[in-house]
Amino acid sequence: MEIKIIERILAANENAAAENRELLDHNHVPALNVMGSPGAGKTSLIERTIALLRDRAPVAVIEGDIATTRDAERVAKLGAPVVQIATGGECHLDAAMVGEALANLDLHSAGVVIIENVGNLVCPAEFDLGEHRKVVVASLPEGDDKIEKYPLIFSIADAVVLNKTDMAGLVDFDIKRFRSELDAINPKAAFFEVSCRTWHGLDEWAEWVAPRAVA
Amino acid sequence: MHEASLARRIIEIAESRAKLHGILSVKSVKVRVGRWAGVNVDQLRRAFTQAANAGATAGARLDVELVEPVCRCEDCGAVFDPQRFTLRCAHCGSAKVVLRQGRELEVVGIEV
Repeated sequence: MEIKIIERILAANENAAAENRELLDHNHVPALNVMGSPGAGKTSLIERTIALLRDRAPVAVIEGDIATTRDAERVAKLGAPVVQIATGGECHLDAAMVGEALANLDLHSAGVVIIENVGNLVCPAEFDLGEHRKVVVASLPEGDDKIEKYPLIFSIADAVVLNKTDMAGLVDFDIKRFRSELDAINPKAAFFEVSCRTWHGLDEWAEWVAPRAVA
Repeated sequence: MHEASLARRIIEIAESRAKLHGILSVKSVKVRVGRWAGVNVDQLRRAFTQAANAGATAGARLDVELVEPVCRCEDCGAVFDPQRFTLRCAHCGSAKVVLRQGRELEVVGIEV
């Protein structure tokens, strides 16, 4: 005999994500979930974003890391409020972890919340955190073949930030190929070419995160 | 992704349903998994076999129904099977494509 059931396996996470989104909406604060490989430049991008948005949308940060507080320390140095989540071995953040972190942030004075996920192109793609937009950071030294190798994460991104463009010429990375593969998998994604080292392209990115009020 | 924790979660769901119906032994647990859900089915099966070692699901089998992705274009209305991972319309090239199925991850039944 078969007993029919319909129960989503990740329902617990989806419910927690919905609560996070409600809390953020209640405070009128948009949230970004920043994902990408280790070393792509997620923390650097967040550092630059804090500086660029200081006057118009103060950034509050949730840092997900497996073991260290290094990223949180980098962000705290810039004076941004930050809550560290030590996942203790987990390779991704989930909505419950983010919910706890949100409870420890002053959302009232934040213009935007940026959540830095654990460096990984696989697992974070599966977990809704309650964010409003998902961002994937990639970089030239990683190689231009990542989109078709990790299609899921690129397919759900609202924006893809290609970092370290100052290394063009030093590494073989065909930006055209990368863009056309992204266009096939996810034609709606915004695309930014930036260098966090030289600040190239970051104004456009900051405008996407928090548009300047039109006078 | 998290085949081990997914397997544990599947077992929890099956155990709670078994308890609800007063069932002492479950032969198999049926799940639907979308091909684009990011799950490695072989790993999921192995993890399930390892974890199903007590309670009503002890020794139970995992039945996996794979769900193929289906896209629908909101511009031209075409419904198509995306041959490869793409969210662009195979017919008119539009970017306004929604995935109608293919990301499922759910328990749909227990065989007792």
